[in-house]
Amino acid sequence: MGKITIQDVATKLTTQNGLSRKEAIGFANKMFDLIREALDQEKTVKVKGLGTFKIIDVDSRESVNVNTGERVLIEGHNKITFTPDTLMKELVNKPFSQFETIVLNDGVDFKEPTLEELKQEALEPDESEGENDSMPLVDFASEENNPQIVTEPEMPTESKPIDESKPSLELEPVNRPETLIEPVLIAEPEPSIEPVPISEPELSKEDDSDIEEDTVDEEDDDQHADRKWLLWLLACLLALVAGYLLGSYLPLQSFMGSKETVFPKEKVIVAEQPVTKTPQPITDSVKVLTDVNEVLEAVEPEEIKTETPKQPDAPTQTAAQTDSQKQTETKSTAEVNPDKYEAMDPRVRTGAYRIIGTDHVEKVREGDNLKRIAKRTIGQDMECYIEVYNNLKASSELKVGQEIKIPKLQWKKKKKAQK
Amino acid sequence: MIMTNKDFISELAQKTGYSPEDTQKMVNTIVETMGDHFQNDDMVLIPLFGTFEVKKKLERVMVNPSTGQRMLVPPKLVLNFKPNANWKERIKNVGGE
Repeated sequence: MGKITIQDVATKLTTQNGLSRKEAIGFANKMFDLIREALDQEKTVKVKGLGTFKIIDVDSRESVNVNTGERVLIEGHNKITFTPDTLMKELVNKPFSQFETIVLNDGVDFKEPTLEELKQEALEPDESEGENDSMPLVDFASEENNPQIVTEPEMPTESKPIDESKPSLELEPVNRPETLIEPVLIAEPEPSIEPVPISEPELSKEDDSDIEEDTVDEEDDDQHADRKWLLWLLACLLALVAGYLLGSYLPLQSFMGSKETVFPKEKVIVAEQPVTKTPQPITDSVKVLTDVNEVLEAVEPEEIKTETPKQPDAPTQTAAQTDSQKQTETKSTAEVNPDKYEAMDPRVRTGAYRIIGTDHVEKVREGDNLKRIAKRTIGQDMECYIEVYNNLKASSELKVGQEIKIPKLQWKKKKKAQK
Repeated sequence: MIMTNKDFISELAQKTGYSPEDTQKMVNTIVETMGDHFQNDDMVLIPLFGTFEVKKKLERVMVNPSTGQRMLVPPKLVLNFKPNANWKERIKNVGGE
């Protein structure tokens, strides 16, 4: 992005055409002088490879002074225009030459999908960072689906990609019935209690909602067709909200799904953990209650944080929950500067969540690594947030008993979604 | 009214004293060099003449007014020329009245 003068251009003449430096500069100057003179007289000059210079008349027109609102007459005048030669145009546009104009089909809400896709592109690379073999497939599916689906409310988008990558879901048909109602529920609460400092509630909340969400996905496939048009009509505004929410929620969800099948072992291990711990269901329910109260008291009641990063499978979830309860829940939701962490790691910067404080402190267990801690706390593939928050590297050695701060995350898109 | 490339080269050859062939070659060299700089996103400043600059145009949705068909026009890089202010002013006034 430098500035090049005629001298720099002329230097090339000396090497390529054997002119002296002085001659070269003289020639270049004469060349542009001639263009200018010719323009003054003839109005149009064509230079092969560069383009056409033209002088055009501009008719006088009325305009408005933007500062005063006064009407002004802009008098007719002449103007120099330059149209690059096709060759030059293509040369300049070379970096973008692979793009082509796309005809948009009727009825496609193009604005949202394009945004979504951009977001997804931004999200996917960093979240999948590492080892998701099944990801490409999911990516593709979800991206393809997006253009048609985003405008419809939530579930349809989720269902397809997940079904492809997540056969394990089929194993939980028991939960299905309850979740029929879920689409609505999820849509409503999603926007979440942003300003209210929810520290623990998220954890307990998610337990319920996650199981439901998982199963809803399949359910909706059936409903999808029927609901599609109805919802389309009813929920244009809702659709925008849901579209945004799903945009960054979707990739996550599918990761969970794929991982589930890939690492069945981890699942078992985690699932066993609750047994050794002493869960405290009372505090849990109390929390849910207080949380609900908070929600009711909030001026904007629609917000419940189902959108937090953790949507792992149900067993993991309970494990995480009991863990977090057992561990002395230091819920210092002290506000931290999310920008600081974003600056530290591109994955956090482009990720769907921002760190807004400490959720609780997790003790390192036998055989733990950051990945596993992330999985049982804030969610699979979310370790980058823990890494930056504790100033650790992915490769850092963890000692048993070491205390790891689990960041509290906030969904970045929330504000937008709320409108 | 139109000065074609041929006219331009022959006139330039006359002024500089080179043969038209050489002139064309040298003009090509200049143009190619400028093209190389454009690809590096460089601005090319030419005193008393103007500035060539590459600008990025964002993608947009275009509607064909007659059919109502919407097209997504991709982002592109466009070469822009901004004439020297003095010259621009002079030209403006020449034809102004």
